[in-house]
Amino acid sequence: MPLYAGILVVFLASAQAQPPRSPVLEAISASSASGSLPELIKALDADGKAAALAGLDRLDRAALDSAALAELSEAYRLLGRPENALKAARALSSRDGGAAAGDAQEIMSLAQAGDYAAAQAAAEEGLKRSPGDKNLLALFHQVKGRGVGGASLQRIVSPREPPLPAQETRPYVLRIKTEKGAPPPPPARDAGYLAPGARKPSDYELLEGAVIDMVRYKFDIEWPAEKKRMAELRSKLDETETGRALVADLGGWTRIQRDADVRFAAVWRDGLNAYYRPFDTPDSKGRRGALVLRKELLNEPDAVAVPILAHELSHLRDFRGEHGLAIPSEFAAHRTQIQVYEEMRRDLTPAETKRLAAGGRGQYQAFIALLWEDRLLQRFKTPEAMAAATGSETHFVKLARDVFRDLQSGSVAPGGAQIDHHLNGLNDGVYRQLTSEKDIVDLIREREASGAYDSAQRLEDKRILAQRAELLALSEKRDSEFRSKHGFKIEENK
Amino acid sequence: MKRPLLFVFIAAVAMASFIWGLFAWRDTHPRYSTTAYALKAGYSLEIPNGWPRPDEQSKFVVVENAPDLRDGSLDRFGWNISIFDHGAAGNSESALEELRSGCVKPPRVDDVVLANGVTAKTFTCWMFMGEINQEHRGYVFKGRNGRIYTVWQPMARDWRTKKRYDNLFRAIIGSMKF
Repeated sequence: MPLYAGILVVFLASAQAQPPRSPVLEAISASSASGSLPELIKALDADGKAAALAGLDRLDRAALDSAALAELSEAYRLLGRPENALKAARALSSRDGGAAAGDAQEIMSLAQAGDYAAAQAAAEEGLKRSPGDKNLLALFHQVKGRGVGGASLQRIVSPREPPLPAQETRPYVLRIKTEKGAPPPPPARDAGYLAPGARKPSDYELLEGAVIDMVRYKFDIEWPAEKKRMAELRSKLDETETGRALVADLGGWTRIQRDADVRFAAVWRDGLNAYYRPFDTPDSKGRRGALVLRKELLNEPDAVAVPILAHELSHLRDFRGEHGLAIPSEFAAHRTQIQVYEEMRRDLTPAETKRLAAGGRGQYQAFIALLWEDRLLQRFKTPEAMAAATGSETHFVKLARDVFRDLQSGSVAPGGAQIDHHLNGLNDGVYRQLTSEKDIVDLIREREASGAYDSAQRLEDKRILAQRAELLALSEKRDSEFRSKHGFKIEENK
Repeated sequence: MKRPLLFVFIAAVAMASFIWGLFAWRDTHPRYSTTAYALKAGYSLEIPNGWPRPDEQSKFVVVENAPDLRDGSLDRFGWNISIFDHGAAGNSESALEELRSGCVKPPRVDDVVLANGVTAKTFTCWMFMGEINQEHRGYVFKGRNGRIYTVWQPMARDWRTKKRYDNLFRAIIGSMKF
């Protein structure tokens, strides 16, 4: 008997502890169905949605508290009425203490209505009123630069990169100062993707880069043989430890393929072998981007194509399908590519090794792996010997000479720093047309000095810095773990 | 009334195109004075004044430009050629095959007569650099001393810089005296 009484007391107490449903939830669903606002709305059919809208319209806004007003705005948005959501958001903004929440709802409503310019302006205004509000900041970055009229093109060519803290000045900057006897170049003025002095791509080149390949991709037919080969590459990648960790970080292949169209496709430009490109709007299957390998890679050996697939997946991991910092992501992607290659290389038969060394793609893979490896000066007596180890003395001998010089003079550290320098060195880097990290530091310093450094820009720079630091630290951590596990200890160079 | 306006428009476009062409020509056909260097490899080269002395390694010579750090300069980045000496016993056909072995697609090979009268075989092709490729030019020729030489040249993406350095380096190769 006391047991039953106890159960009854607990039951009554829990029933009393249940908070009353908000008027907005009541208006949406008269039944006592539980769940969050999105869940309730998702469960409604067309008639239910019409009834819910009618119920929301009947609510007296003046009688609602701030939390209920925020909920009202969200409910209107979820029901596809951004104009009503906007009114509720503005009513919320005018309340004491409701500015940040109201602004957030307003930005989301404007974005839903497709007016990204107004949403961006609202976000900037909101950040002025509530500086440092993380929710507003996140929304600001979501809506910034979106919309019609080439904004997406601009995002492809002008992601801003983070500044470089003074203690991390890159060795190649020092090299320029000492060897050329010239001052460092002036900073870029437009925060673009291009290094100072380099020509901006023309409108046609932008069109060529961003649209033509996308059109080629859209109209490309994926043949069964390509699907089969991609499946082979995926399973080969899964055989490597680095590849498994990469795929696991991305949530597994099912999730990757739900998020991105991973496939072979024709690529128009000769200069491009693979890319990941986010879509402005998800495609009919809900995928948010395309990860494309050039069709010419179909017949390449696994040890060439699989590391390239890993490279592109690494970009996907960095940004979760959005645009981000190109250079730190390239540093990380190349390390991942090399690690996958190193793991695959161990299991190659002599015939496969020979085939790899006979082609330009295999030779380059071998070259960057050598750059990343340790004890180059001890292992190779001359640049010619290092270049010959890739399979082609001619193609890489000049780069090998530079590596020897840099290692002997100590101007570029061995290991990962060699890869970074190879990619973004001021004069000879593969991605030298991209803004160097040094340029970004100069640019942000210039912004600070000019006084025209508004709070939104400052916050964006802070976010960029944090993202860059996170990217580099993660990449470095993975790199050192791989090195210690597989015996590539760069300290042996000393 | 409409016809004169049309004429003025066409004339303005033609004039602008002509001026643009002049500037493009000036950029892609630079005029410069040179310094001659006699190399241990047994030939001499004429290099634009201000460029570093050719770097002589055991099997090859590197000629690099002096990057101009002025904003907007076409010479902003470092460009170079590597000249390989395959010796008197070398075979130009096998040297050509080796040079284009890494090309993404087999290139078309053309003959070109250099300023020193030597006929060279030349081609351009894209070389794999990970997710991107870089275009290169290769030359193969037999010098007047009977030795086989190959030259390897990375090329810019921007057409104007590409053309400028194509002309500059071809002139340098053409200045080889054996």
